[in-house]
Amino acid sequence: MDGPPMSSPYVQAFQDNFGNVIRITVTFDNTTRALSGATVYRDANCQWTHIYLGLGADGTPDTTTKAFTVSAGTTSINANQLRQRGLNTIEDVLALQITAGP
Amino acid sequence: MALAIDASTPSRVTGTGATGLTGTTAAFNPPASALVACCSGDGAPANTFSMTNNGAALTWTEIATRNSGDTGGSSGVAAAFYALLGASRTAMTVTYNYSSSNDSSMKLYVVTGADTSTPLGANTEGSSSSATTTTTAYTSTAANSFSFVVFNDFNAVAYSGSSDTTMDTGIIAGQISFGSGYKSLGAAGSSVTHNIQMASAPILNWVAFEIKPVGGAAPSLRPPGPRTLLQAVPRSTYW
Repeated sequence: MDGPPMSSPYVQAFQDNFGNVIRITVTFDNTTRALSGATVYRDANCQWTHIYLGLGADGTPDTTTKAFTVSAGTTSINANQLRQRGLNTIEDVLALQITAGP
Repeated sequence: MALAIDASTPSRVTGTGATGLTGTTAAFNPPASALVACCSGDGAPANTFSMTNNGAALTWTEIATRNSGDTGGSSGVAAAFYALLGASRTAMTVTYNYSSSNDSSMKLYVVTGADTSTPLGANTEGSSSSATTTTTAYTSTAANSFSFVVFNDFNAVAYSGSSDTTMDTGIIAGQISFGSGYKSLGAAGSSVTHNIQMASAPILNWVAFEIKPVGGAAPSLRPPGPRTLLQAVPRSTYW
């Protein structure tokens, strides 16, 4: 539905073929929309070790410059690390498709 | 060869309304198989999906699409497609194309052991506003098939479980929730439904369908007729 603008946090989780999960939680200021950080989480045995935002030059997610390598457990990503990938506001994130992979 | 979901099955791919009209899986290395795409989309109009892939183009067959254009259909879209992959590939990607710039998502399944000529059996579709949905029953056409289901929820209610289906689900808060799943079936002629549980009342479209195994077509019996001695066959031999 066409609801109100998304409020923080933006969460996407992906299951592998064995029920294990990899997840990203992006937090942002609901007024300025500026990203304040993110956390990524991965089950220890999850097939997927990366979260891919957007596509690379060859049209595949695998080569995107906005990929996050996710270790088992929870890892924090600060706003500077997001900015280094060109992600400044939540709209920058929402403008990109999201998936996971090995 | 029994049906199975291959471990090369890629992760779900999701796009928000700002993403645009397409979503592409991460690269995967499928064996010869049937590729089953389960698509969910947001938006009130009767939107539709189509499928493409990298490399040599496969023939993608639409199984069913449920949207507001159907009698009794709800806003949003649930749609399913299949393609037969005759030989293994490496670094394959599959892309969905959505007719709307609203939120969308796709889960692609790599199914091994599927009938390589007519993998699709029965199918059905419907809509629901109940927190617990039992999809309309269809009758399976082959033994040991898989039944898949795909849904969208225009109300963006959280998925809360299924009593009978292995689901892969997601949500874009305040916009849409979506999911798809499968279960194995028994004898041909079974009545097949899927249970979908949401945290509260949804605005749900769903499509459910059967994928048949190799050799899973219902047996066609030769009509009885006169036989010569040369045509006599052991009692244990099926026609």
